[in-house]
Amino acid sequence: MPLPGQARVPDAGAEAELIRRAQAGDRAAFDGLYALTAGRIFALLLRLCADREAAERLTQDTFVMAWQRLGTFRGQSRFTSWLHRIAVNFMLQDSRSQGRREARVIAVEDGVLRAAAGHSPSTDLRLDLERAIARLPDGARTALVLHDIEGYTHEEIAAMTGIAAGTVKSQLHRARRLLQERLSP
Amino acid sequence: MSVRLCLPFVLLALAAVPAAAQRNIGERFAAAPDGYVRVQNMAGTVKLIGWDRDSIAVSGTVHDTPAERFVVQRGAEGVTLGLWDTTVERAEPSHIEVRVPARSQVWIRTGSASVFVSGVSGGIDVTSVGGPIEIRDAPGEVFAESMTGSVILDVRTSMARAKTVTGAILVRGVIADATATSVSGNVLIEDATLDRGSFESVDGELRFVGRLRRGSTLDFVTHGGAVEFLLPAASDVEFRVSTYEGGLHSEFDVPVRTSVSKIKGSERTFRLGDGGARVNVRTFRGRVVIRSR
Amino acid sequence: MNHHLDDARLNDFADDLLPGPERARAEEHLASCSACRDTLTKVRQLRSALAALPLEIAPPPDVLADVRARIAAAGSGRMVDASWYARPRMLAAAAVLLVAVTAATTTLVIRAMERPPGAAVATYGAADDRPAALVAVQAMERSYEEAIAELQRALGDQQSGLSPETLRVLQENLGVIDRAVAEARAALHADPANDVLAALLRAGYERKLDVLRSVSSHGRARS
Repeated sequence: MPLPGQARVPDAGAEAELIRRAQAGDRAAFDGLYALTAGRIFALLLRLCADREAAERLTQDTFVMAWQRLGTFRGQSRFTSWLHRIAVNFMLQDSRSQGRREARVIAVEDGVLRAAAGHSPSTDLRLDLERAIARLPDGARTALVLHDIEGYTHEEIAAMTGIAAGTVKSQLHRARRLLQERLSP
Repeated sequence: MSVRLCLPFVLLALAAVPAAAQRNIGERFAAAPDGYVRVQNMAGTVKLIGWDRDSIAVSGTVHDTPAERFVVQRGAEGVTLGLWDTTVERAEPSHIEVRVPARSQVWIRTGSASVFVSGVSGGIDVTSVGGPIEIRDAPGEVFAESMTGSVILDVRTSMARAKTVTGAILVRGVIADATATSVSGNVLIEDATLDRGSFESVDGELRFVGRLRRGSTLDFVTHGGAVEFLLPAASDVEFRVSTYEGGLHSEFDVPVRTSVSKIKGSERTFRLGDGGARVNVRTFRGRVVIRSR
Repeated sequence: MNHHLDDARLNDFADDLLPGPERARAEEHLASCSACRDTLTKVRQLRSALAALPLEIAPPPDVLADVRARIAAAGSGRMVDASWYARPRMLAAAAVLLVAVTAATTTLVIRAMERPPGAAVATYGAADDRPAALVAVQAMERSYEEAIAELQRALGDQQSGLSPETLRVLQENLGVIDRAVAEARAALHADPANDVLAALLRAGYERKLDVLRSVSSHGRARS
């Protein structure tokens, strides 16, 4: 689902070309793919993990796995969606193995704080919003980030996370309610 | 018309205009120990101090008009106060002092007003156009942004971000993760204990003075600005210095291995002591200088 | 309806997920219930604010270096690309890989290293002969330029609220950035696999976006 222009849309032709070459073993092409997509993956993981070190580590894991599995990418989905699935998998495995972990206040990069020009009437709330998202309970945060920020449907999120679509939906609604409580008036 | 006839009209006209006035403010009320406090004041000063009471005290002198009054708005999760002006850089200064519960989440926005924050252990987010910003003590995390004003951070925190266009930035204290970026402003990191640092200026200078913490990783990036280090003689640092057209000068007596890229520029990796900290420097044209204290 | 729309229905309504008849019933209720309309507005505003958050955040440079190191260390028999900006430990890993490669492939690798910079890395009969690194650099530049153009368009719709003096200073500094970007770009196009130049170019673009977003955050919509 397309979102208002916050993502820098990679040149589709360039991306396809790089994928083709990387699949043939060209590492410079893989570097190019990294350059085009790493920002998307890191942003996703930063918000999902609410933990900068974990996000860096899992971003690495995602791209290493992507290189190993690149041959299986057939263009049936968008490349970033394919990477997102790998990233979400790593995140879920990681949170399970780490056990219950208090969501620390996210160590956000400057980029996270920048509001879109002209999009939000109250650009002042951008930092509060990111912080409030980081403080959400894990399940609620996952649903919110994947649905309201990244634009996936409940069913897509269910497929990515193994959580039932109905649960995804109720977690999403809960997340929105919690955010509103924390951000008002 | 003669002057005598004019005068009454003039006096009437003056009386009819609502007067902008400077007045004292003073209010105190209960507040959540960790709620948010949002302050906006375009010109003058904002001084915000954390204290160990569950209340907020506002005082000062404000210059407001009926159209643009100083307001205090209390909500379920926090307080919003100040002059919410439509003009970012207004002329008439207001001086506002706020005492807040130490664990408050603080958010301040000004134009040319100077900002001082201390004693807050919640998160702090300050934005100004030209007003200088100074933040002290031990906030949860800090974001300070000014276009032309300076930013001084002397803090103990997990994360600090400072950003300016031309304002100078000073970073001190104990910070796990620090970032300071500017376009033409200089950045000085002095007597700071950092785990991770990222410092960038396009044409301003970056200067690091003091000891580098073992295990830390610091990145310095400029286009034309110089990057200078003033380190204790017995330092343990692994430097990786990459510059396209700039030069490297080191007062430390070390063997320098040079690997030159295909076309132009150089990357040099070398160690001082046992290389306990990692420093990466990248410049296009900025010269890199490493001096011994 | 006497009852308000429940949380789930309101959210589904905001997300356009209610089937036809349910949606109609919800609309009917909203027409006469200001409380539910308020709640719906709040959900929509939140969704709007969330959708406006940046989707990209650059990871620190170490991440790419470590990815490369891990890929090289795992070794896959694939061709080593000599245009990587080699760090000492990377060179060691690459050397190990070379030793493991068969004679026929070794010849290919040596030839690749001898290729002059800027030449095509691989020819697979593709129409695009640009080196992969240059493809990536140009794509990166295009997407930054799009983001900048979008911000500038949005700024055109705003009253800046900043003084002429401040605007002058900002303009000057945008000029500083533009000159730096131009220099880095020219150098990078001559040596597209140069990581350091790519990082410097990105840094320049990021500073420009920073400045424009700063200006935008102080703006107001034109009335």
